[in-house]
Amino acid sequence: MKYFVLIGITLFFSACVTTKVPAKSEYRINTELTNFTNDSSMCKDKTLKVAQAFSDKNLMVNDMMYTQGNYKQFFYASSQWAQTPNDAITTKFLSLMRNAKLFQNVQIAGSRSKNDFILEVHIEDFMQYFNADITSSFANAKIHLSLIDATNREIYASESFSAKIDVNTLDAQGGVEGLSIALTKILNDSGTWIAKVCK
Amino acid sequence: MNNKVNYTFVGFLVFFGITLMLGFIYWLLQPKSDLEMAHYHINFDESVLGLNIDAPVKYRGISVGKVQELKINPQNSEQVQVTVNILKTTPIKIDTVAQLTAQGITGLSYINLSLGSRHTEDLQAKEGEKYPVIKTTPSFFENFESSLGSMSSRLSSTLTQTEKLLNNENQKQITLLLEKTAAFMNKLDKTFDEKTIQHLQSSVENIDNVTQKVDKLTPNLDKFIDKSMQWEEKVSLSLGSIMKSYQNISGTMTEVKKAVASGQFNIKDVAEDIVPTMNATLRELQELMIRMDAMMQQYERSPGDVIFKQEELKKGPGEE
Repeated sequence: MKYFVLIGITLFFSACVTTKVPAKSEYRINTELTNFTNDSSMCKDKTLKVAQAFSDKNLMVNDMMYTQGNYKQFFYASSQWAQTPNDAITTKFLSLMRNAKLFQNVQIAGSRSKNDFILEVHIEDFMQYFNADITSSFANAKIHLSLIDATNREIYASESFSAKIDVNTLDAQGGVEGLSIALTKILNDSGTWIAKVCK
Repeated sequence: MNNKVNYTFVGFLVFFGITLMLGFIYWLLQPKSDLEMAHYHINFDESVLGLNIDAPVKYRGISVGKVQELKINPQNSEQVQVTVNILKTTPIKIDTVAQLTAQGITGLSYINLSLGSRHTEDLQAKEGEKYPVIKTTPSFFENFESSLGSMSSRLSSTLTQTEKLLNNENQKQITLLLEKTAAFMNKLDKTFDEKTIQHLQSSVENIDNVTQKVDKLTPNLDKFIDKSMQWEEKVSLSLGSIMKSYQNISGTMTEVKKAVASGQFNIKDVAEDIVPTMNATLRELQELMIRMDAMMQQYERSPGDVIFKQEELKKGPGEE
């Protein structure tokens, strides 16, 4: 009997849903990394662990946020991230370090291995900005990196990187493109900085 | 008238009467004392001024004899030998002593016998002695005189010392001391004005109050001590049980140590597997919490969305 009641209630309430939820498009960050000239010697026999990035909790969800004017912040109704920006940026830095081949080995945050250095990534800003009347937009990314000596937990080197890119289209896709370009710029700058640190 | 008187008979009666009278007188005056008295010698080292023949000899205040003879001791010219007659019934013991005692203000003296325990032997004449010799003790005047001499010499010594003490320099020092004492007393007098004395009195009253309170508190303190002792016993028992627990834990730790040492329980190996998994789980939990937080915010914003999905979604830029 109770099953009939449950089925009845479910059918009753499902009939009440009147608002249509729009279909969502998922976006991913696309970066194009340049190749670094690997003439560093200090880090050749060292290992590196890229720690999970620190960020605001808005960058740890799939909702794609944007800012309108100076104060208002919304998320796109029909667009979202395929991967949370926090995870995506962490993965991009991991790929960057592996491609650069500056270190003997580059490990993920959850690795069981012991490492000589730890790269801490702090995402200070990663968002699309519109003006108040939505006539212009730009993508802003700001990331701070710290290279930590794992043996004594002291900061070996640290640097902040930022990029501000005007977007081509005033929508989510334009924002994703702008953020991807901004992150590409930061990744390339970061690679150059790491190579200089390891020289 | 018959004149025939028997003169022979009368003469006999008269003679008989005179005989009876003489017999009575002899009976009355016979020297009984010679039979009841005993002779003793007393050798005084002091002057016996005021002591005369027939002066009384008293035993503890009772007259028991008389002085019979006074003379210089033929065997020791520094002594006066007094021969006394004392009733034989008087208990003269070997430790009995004689003392020359003044008789009022008349200047006369008598001999006073004292001491003599009833358990000691009676005094007997020694060989070569005519009579037993009673020991003497110095009289009051003798003692007084000797004490006076000693006192006089001591007084003289004291006066000499005092004279030395009160020389000119010491007199100056004493004068200075007295001046300073006077100044000090003056300051003390100024310090202890009425106000200060009142403060002192109030302080003393406060101390008295405190003392009374302490007296009242003392029983409570005793109770507290009793309770503390009980508490101490309980704590002791608790500590005993804690000690037992500690011993058990220690035993367990020893076993764990043995297991770790033998390789049965390797914390490092266990942690190496668990810690990364735990980290990953915690990260997922963090993400879950963030999603739940977002959901709760949406629910608070529009509770009906949970079932009816009524909230109107704001379209973003470029969204239709």
